Amino acid sequence: MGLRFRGRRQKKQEFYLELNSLMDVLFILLVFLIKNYSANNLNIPENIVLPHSVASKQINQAIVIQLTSEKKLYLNDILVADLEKDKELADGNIITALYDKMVDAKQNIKYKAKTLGDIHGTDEIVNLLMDKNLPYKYIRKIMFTSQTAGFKEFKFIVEGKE
Amino acid sequence: MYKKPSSRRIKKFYAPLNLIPILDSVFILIFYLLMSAQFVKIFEIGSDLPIMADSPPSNMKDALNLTVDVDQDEIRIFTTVNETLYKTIPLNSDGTFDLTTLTGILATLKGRYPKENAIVIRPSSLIKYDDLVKILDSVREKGSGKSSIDLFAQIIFGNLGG
Repeated sequence: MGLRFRGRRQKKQEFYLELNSLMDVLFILLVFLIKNYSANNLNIPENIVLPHSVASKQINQAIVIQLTSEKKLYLNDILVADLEKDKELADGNIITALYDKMVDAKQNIKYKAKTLGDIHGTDEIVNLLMDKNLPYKYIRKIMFTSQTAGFKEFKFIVEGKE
Repeated sequence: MYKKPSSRRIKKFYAPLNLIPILDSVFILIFYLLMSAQFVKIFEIGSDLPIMADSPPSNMKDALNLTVDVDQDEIRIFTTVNETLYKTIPLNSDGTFDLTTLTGILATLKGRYPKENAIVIRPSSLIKYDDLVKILDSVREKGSGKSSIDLFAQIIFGNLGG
């Protein structure tokens, strides 16, 4: 009897890796990441420390003006002026270099909206990304320049407190 | 006489679910989300430009016309069309703005004029952006979370032209 069943007993069982628990963990991670996913592609440079706020409104797609702690002014990540070095830029009400670029940007947005039907961004909103230690005089000049270039709404980008 | 078939012979074999393709896609998705994740929560505070009208509004006498001047040493609140000084709020003993009192006064005014939403803010040139954002938070709502009360959410900067 023992010899007759020896082969059957020694038959190797297929090995299956138990993946269910791993799948559970991965799905929890996936849900967490999707929940916290933000669709905006706003680039916050290292030399800009945003102020904290209780605001909870999600940001809109629009052109972005960045002013770093070294007073370097960027429009859509492209350096436009250095307000520390170019004193004449900082003295007047309008920052001319920024004004020219903003007029171009506005025309570009309008052209895209007309020809390509691009619905991202409007030609009247400006997202302002500025270092929290800067004085209001720079913000005022940027806002006045934007206003003169035809932008009517300003969005101060802030860091949430949650 | 038929014999009952052996239970060993008809034993069903359940093939385990092949989770590997799902696992692959979940891993790719997790890496994509991790790479594009923004762990700093950013929001916006909106501000509109002053609206220019050809003719004065009909109910100017009843309008609150709330204006807040922010200086380095005090906050002044003006009301009515003639900009009558309503309250002056000095700094706290530690040199910070007394935002609690500001919010309290604005909440009282909101109680009297529940339909009013607009506030004109005129910060002085040297006010720090961080302080300005705190003031904007204080004039927009009282409290935070679900128990917050909306105050004056339509913020207009009144001194952009200098």
